[in-house]
Amino acid sequence: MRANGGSQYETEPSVVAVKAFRTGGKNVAGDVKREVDALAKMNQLGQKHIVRFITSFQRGTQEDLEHYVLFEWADGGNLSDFWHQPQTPKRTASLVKWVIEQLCGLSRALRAAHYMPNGACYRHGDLKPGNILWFPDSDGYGTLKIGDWGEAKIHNQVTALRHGRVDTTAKYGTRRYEPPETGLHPLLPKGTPHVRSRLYDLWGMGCIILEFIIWLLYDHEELSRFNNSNQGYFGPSDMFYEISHEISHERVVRIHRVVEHWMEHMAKDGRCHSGETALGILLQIVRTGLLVTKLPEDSGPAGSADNGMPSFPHDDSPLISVTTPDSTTHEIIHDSSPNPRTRFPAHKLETELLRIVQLGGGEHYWYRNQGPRSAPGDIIGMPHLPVPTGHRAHSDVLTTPAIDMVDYAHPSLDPEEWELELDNDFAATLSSRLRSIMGMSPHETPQSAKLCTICRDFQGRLLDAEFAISYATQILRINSEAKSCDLCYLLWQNCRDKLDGGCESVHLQRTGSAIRIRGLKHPVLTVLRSDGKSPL
Amino acid sequence: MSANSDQTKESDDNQAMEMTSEDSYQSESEADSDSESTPLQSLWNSLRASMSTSMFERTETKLFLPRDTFEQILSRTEGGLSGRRKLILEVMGIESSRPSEDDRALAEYILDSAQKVFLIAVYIQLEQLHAAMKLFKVSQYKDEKLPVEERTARELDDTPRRHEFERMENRQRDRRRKDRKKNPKRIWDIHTISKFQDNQWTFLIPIISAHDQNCNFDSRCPIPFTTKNAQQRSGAHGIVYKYTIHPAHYKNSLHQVIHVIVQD
Repeated sequence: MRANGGSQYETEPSVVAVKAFRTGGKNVAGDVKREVDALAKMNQLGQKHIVRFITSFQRGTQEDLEHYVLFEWADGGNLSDFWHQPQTPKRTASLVKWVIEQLCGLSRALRAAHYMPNGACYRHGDLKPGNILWFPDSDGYGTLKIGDWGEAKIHNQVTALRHGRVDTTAKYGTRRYEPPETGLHPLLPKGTPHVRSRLYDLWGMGCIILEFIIWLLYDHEELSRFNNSNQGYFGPSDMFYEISHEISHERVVRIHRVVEHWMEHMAKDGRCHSGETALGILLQIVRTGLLVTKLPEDSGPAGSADNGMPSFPHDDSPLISVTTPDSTTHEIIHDSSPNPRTRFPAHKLETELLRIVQLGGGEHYWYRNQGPRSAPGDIIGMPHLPVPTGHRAHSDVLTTPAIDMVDYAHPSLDPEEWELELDNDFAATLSSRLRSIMGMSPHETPQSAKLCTICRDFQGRLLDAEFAISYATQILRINSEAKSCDLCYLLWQNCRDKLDGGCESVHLQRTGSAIRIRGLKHPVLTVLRSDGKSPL
Repeated sequence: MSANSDQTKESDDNQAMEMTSEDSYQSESEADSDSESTPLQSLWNSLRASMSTSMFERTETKLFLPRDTFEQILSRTEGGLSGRRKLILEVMGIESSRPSEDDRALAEYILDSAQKVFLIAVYIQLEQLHAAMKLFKVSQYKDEKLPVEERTARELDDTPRRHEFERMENRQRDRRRKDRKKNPKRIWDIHTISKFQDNQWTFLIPIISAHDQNCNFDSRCPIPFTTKNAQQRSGAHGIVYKYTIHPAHYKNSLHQVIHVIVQD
C-alpha cells in the first residue's frame, strides 16, 4: 500500500540504492566517471530536491571492472509510482499546495545545477517521471527529488547556449520527454555540432508538470490514457511535440495536437482557471513557458526573459519552421510569429512557481472542489479538432500527415552480425498499447490458409522440439508463383534472396521462435503466439 | 581499501564452495558443546556465531566477520587488558597464570596490531597457533599487510617456498640452525597457506564510506550488504537494487549536517 504517512516508509539509515552499471559496453568506465563526477557536484549543491549520492566502488580487475554507485533509497519509488499508488490521495488544497512546493523545489534544484557557483552548468538530460524519486515521510506526502544524473553533462556557458543545436548522444534515454530540438537535429545541415542545452531539461519539466496537472484533475487512469493517446495516430510521435510538413521545403514543429487538445480542455475546467487558481497558473506556465518550441537567443543566468509574471495572451503555440536539408537556403530556424514566446530558463520557472505560492489565498485558490469534470475525449474521429497553431491553416490535420521525426534509421550493420533477442514482455506491452489505441489486436487470427502437403506437415510438426523441414527449391518457387500454397509463397518471398544460385533444396529449422535457413543466422520467419499463450 | 588487482584469483564459485564448507573445520556437536570446549574451540565458536552472510549479488552466500565483533569477541572476558591478554594466551595453549615476558609481549602484539591475523589463524584451526603467531611477530607481519599474497594451488605446489609465509619460516629456521636448535615441524605448507589465503577475506571487509569514493574492492571480498530487497529498477545505464549495509561497515554523511550556504 502506498499511503502518505505512516512508519512503513521510514527508511533505515543503512538502506541504500545500489546502481550496478552494465558491464561490457564501450566506455563504461567513462560513463561511470562522468556520472560520479556529476553526482559529487550535485551533492555539493546541498539541494533537498536532488537525490543524495553516497559513494561509488568498483570490483574486479582492470580488465573486467564492475562499477557500482550508491544513493539514498527512495522508499516510495518514482513519480509514476506516486501517481499510481492504490489509495490515491484525496484531492485537497493541501495536496495541491504540496505539489506546487515540490515543483518549486525541483526547479530550484534544476536552477542550482544549471547555474553552478563556479560558472559551470550541469544539465540532467533525461528528466522524466521515472527519474523524479519519491521519498515519503511520516507526516505528509514526502519529498520529490531529481535522481539518475546518468545523462548529466557539464559544459561551460558559452557552448551550452548555442542556439538551436542539440546533443543526440544520449544512448538509452526515454524519447517521450525529449524536446523538439532533438527531433529537429536530423533536419539540420550535416556537421552541426551536438550540444544539448539547459533548456532541454525545461521541456522535460513541462512534460512532468503537465502530467502532474492531469493526475491532479483526474486520476492515474486518465493520465495513462493521455500517455497512450498521442501514439500512432499522427505518425510515430511518442513525444509532446510533432514535426510535420508544411509548405514545400518547410517543416513545422509544434506541440503535439493531442497534448494541445488536453491542455485546451483543462484550461476550461473551473479548477484550472488561469489567474484564479494555482493549477490554472501552473497550466499557463506549462503552456507559455515550458512546452514551448522556441528557444531564447540568450538564456544566460540573467536571461533575456524578465522576472515578472509572464503575460498569458491566449494565442496559440508558436511555431518553428525549419528548412529541409535539401533546400537551397540553409537558414536553420526562424520564427513564424512576430513575437513568439520562448522557453523559460530554470530560474524563471522557479520564480514563476514561487509566485504561485506567494499569491496563495484561501482554499479556493489551491483547489476548487466542484466535482469532477470529465477528461478530454479522444481526438481520433473528431474531424474538426481545433488546431492549436492558429496562424497556419492545416486543412489536412486529420489525414495522417507525412511526418519527419527523429532519425531512427539503423546504422549500416550486416544483419548476420546482429544478436537477436526474444522479448515477449516488450511484445506484450506493445500489443497491449496497440489494443488500447486501436481497439483491436495487432495480430488477428488470419483466415485459414491454403497449404500444400509439405506445408501441412510443416504446420503439424512446427512445435516439435527439433523441428526441421526441407523443400525442393523448384516446388517452393512453383507453388509460390501459382499461389497454390500460402506458406510456400511466404517462404519463397523470404528465402529466395538468401539462396545460392542452383541450390536444389531449402533446409529450414526452428530455434525458439525463429525459423532459419540452415547455416544462416538471420531468421526468415518468426513464429508468433497469441497473447496469453505460453511462449515456444 | 584497495586491493591487488593483479593477484591470481580463484573463481567466485570456488570461493563460495569453500566459504560454505567451513563447517567442516568443526562438527556441529563440537560447536554446541561450548561449555566443555577449550578456549580455542570456544573462540572458534564465537567467530562462527558472529559471522554474517553477504547478500550482495556477486558475493552472495559468502560469510564475513563484521568489524564490530572483533572488539566484542576479544573483550568478552572480564579484567580489561590483562583479561584479553589472558584469553589470547589461553587460546594459544599457554598457561596464563604466569606467562613469560615473551608471551606477554606476543599477546600485546596480537591485541595491538595483529588481531585479524590471529583470528584468521584461529578460524582456519592452524595447528601450531602459538608458533605461527611468534613467527608473525618476529617477522613484524601485522594486519596492515593483509591480504596475504595469493597463489593458486598449482603455484603453491610448484614453488611453495616462494610464498611470503614460507620465506618467513625459512628465515626463522635458518636462525635456529645457527643456534643449533632442532627444526620443528613446518607451520606453513600448501594446505595451511591455501586455508589462510582463502579465508582471509572473511575478515577483510571494507567499510562503505561516503568519504572514500571509487574504492576498488577485490572480487573475492564479500561486500557487507546484509539484505537484498527484491525491488529493483532499471535505469539508463544499469539496474538499481535495494540493499542494507551492515551498520559496522557503513560511514554515511547522509545524516550528518551539511553546511552549505545556498543563496536563493
